[in-house]
Amino acid sequence: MKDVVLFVLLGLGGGAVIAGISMAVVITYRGSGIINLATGAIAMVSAYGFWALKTGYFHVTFGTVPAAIVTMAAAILVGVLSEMLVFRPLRTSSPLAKLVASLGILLILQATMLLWFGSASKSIPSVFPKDIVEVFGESMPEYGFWMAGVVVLIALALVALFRWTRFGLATRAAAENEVFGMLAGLSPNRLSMANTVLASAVAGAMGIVAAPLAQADSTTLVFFIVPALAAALFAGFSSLWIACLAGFGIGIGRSLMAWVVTLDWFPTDRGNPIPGTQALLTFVLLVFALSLRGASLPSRGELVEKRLPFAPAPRRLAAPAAGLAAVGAALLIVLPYGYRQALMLSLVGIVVCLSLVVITGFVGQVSLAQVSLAGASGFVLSHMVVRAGIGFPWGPLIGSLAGVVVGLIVGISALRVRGPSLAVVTLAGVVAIEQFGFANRRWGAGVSGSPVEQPRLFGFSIGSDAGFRGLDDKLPSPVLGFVYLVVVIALCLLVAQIRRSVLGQQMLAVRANERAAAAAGIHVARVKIIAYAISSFIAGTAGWMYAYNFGSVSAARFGILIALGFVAFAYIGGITMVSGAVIGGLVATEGLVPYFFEELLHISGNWTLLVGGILVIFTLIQNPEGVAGTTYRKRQAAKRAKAAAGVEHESGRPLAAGGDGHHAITEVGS
Amino acid sequence: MQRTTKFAAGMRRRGLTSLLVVGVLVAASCGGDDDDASTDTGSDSTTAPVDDTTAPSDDTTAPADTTAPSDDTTAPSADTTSPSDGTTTPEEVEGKVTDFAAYVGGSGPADDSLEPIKIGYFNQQGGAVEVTHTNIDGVNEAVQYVNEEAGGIGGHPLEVVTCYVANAEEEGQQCGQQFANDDSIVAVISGPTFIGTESFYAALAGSKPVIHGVSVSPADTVQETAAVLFGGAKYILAPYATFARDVLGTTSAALIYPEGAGQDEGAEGQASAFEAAGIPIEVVSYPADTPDLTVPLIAAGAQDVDLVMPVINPNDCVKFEQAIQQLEIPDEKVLASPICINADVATELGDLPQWHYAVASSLSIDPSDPSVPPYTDILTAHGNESMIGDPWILVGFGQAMTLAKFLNAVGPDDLTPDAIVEQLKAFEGPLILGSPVLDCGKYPDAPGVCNDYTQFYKYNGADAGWELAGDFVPPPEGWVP
Repeated sequence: MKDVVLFVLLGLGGGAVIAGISMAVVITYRGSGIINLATGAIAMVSAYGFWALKTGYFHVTFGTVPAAIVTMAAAILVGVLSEMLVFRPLRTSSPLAKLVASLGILLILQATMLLWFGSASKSIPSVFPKDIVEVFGESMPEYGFWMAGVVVLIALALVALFRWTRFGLATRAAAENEVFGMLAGLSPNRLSMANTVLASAVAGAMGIVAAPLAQADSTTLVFFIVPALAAALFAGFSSLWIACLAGFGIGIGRSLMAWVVTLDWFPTDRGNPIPGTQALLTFVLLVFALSLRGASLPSRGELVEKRLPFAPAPRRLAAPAAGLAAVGAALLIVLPYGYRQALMLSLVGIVVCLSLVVITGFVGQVSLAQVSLAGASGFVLSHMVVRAGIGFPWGPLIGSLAGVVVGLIVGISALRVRGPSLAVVTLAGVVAIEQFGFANRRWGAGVSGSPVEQPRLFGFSIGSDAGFRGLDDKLPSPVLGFVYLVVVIALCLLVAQIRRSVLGQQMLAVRANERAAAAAGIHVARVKIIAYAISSFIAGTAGWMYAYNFGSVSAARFGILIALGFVAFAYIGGITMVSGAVIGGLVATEGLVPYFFEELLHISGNWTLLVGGILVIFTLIQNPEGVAGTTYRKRQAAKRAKAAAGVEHESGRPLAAGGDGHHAITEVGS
Repeated sequence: MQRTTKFAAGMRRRGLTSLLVVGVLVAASCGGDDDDASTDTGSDSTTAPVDDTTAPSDDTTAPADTTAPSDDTTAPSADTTSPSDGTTTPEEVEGKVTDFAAYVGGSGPADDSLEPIKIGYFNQQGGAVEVTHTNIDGVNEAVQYVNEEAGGIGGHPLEVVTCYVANAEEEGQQCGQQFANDDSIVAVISGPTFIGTESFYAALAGSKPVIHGVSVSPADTVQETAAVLFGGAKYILAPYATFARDVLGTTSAALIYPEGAGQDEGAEGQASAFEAAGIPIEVVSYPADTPDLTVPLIAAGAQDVDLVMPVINPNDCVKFEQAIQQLEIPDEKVLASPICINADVATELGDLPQWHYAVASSLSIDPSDPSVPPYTDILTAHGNESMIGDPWILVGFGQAMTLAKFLNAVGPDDLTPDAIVEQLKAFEGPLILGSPVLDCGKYPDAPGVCNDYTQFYKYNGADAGWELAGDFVPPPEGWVP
């Protein structure tokens, strides 16, 4: 029992940081409806700033209080700039667009800090005493109590602010119903800005409060966002108190888990503690909370109903497919090997994006776990090849089916969950699966990866080492690219056909309004499960394609940033359209477009992160519905204008702008 | 047995950048198959105190019984130190390479009119996480030396082509393809990587031999065409147990390591070695994003054991020391790898932590090691005195010099992958600035591993400097990786 108490107390420090960031997340969501993935990154900026000011990095050494004030001001400035330059232009966009934009901010902040301060971590000067207290005969640092005390005080102040001030009342009113808030004279933009300032201040404070136990580096505080989001979800993104308590609870739970893994009965991985238990704990707690609360999780009342972009049904399939096949095959042969490899990565990226088109674009389920499903497939393939000698085509097929099994588990678990809740729980799932599943050396492959032999068919290699090497006679062989091209075209046709089918219409009906769909006789659960199965199969296909492409699978391939990155690529391309998936694949990491710019501009490393983050935001603002969606709209508008001009010419009278065609498309696609 | 240097005094002279000053060099004698090399096998040079150093009193050297006679710690009996084939002898353990040009196998400047011999260099650097970005500096220093003073490769100048992984696995694949597709590149030197490593090897497909210094990825050690000269993490962490048992008299130990950062294999090897040595050990892992290391330390019982060992990444060094201080665990109870010996740690903490350090090579600020002066002379002659203390530069230097040795042995006109691999497999040491004994292929499951010997130093702070706490020892007998 004394060990339990000891580790509960030891968890206070980490819990305090989670609680603080979680409250900042809740404040942002209440103020503007944004799930800001960059909240932890703001704490990181604050930590770097406080370190720099206290240590004379800028050739001026500040005292603790002035340094804290300047640091908080910098954190608030980051928040204000994010609001003005990113979130306000996207105010009428879907929540997913804002989520992706916040990922762009995260990347920009992370890259900026790395470029400015380097990759070495910095020791943040502590603002708390470094005394030791004795607990059950064990020495433990006192700072955990101080940190917990400060965060509880912040929570008290915030609760009082929101309960007893006009600002708090206005924020709560707007969060409940933005329309009524507007009628009462409240400005959504001003409320959003005020809450952003407050959230940034709280997040910034966490960068300073965390000093005794965290360093200023580019990852630690940034990825506190995952448990913080879990705590916010416990609180339904509305209650600051519950978010605070849940944050402490998660921190304490993680501390206890560090002790539990040392107990004799706890299973081990080759003598070492099983990795990922703390991430798994967070995920399990989250699923448990959702099973209790389920659909009762509140959504924010919005002035503008923000839906995913429209999803038009493709009219022609054969011609685009033939064109893609011809162009793709030609490029695979004639491109230099670097571009050839980039094209092959783009083909795999297209498949991942296609899986997101089905589950998110068609059904509206914001699942971030697609790369985990791909990972399940890749690891199954690796084990099939290495341990059972089962290669192409059965290994990949079994891999894809493994993706379906995992996807169905996710899908069935998530039947009652939707919107931001699903995004958060699947994000926690990605972390848990990566750390507990893939990084485990027994059933995963550890960090460095597990090899996968190149595919062979009828004794001939069809992998990257095949004899035909393209015009430049270099590796990788275009033959593997041809295989990928066939798979991509087949899956594009499949997804396009789904959109044109009755099932596709049912999916869109579910996406638009589940109750209305059910009232229309659509079996919502069945449609969702079918969608999960199809998208999981597609994601699983991407998994074995990755495995063959790299000749290996590794946990890092299927981690949180990759998962978020693909949602960004898919959204930027156009998450509701097959053509959007193609564009998403082209801009995917080290795909054809990034490779071209890297070769052109000679940028790499952290500069790539910075430029990538800026481009994500810029593209989103320019194309809130994705590049494919915007292009489609423009093309339709041009057609309507042309048609209108024709009618006008025939009838001799002008037509009203914004013809019915647009609405017809929107209704079908929404 | 005690050997100290004025680390801090040197620091003051050279400025803060010199805080890097700690080397991972290996004592090596020029015996074996390198007939041309000058050797210095005098055991005194490695064990006797240095005249100009501040010799610590016995009570600063850990318990008196830990400063065991040199025979016990530096030249163990064949039964305990030798690999099963008995290739190690006490004389070899004391060996040092002192004639670097002879080690490479040439002299004088290379002929610039000849076609350069190209080698690749691969590392994880420039992104959010890196083990080292200075390893390449050592490679370049060695290449400059080979071209200016060691005759190049049979007269041909040596040239390095670099390719880096910053953040993405895809970059590892690109590097592998770049090297595989470039017929002019005859071999590859690799820094420590754990992102993109497997895809790098898959793309390379064994087409080029790969020379590692220190590996943090199991993918390196299982390659048939690779040589991890200074040691794979699992294999050079295992001798900690021998040192703890025989020198420190450790009866209990704790180990913590981060999950998912390439350290699990090393931790596994170290833990199993302690069990083989009969020392109970508690192993606790923590998520890589864990900010507070007091929790895993307490969970591992760090306050109650004789020895605490972090198997961590460079970015965790400062917070580990802070956690140690928070829990009032004495620094001398800590035994760490040289990964924490870097300027960033010294800057952040004001000085390096006064731990025991294991180094699979010589210490570059230790002038009593006969391998060190030639090395420091070269860097000084190149105008790069500030690089002297960086262990990763030293490792890179050793990698490139040894690859040059292999290339010269094959000859510039016969440089095939098989011929180079044959050389590296046959190389038994001594390794320049590395282990005195090499045995590539000793471990069948890890054919790339060439070294499992490690030596130990104790840092006693700015004034007392460094002290040799234990010469090269192998893993404990009976240890199975």
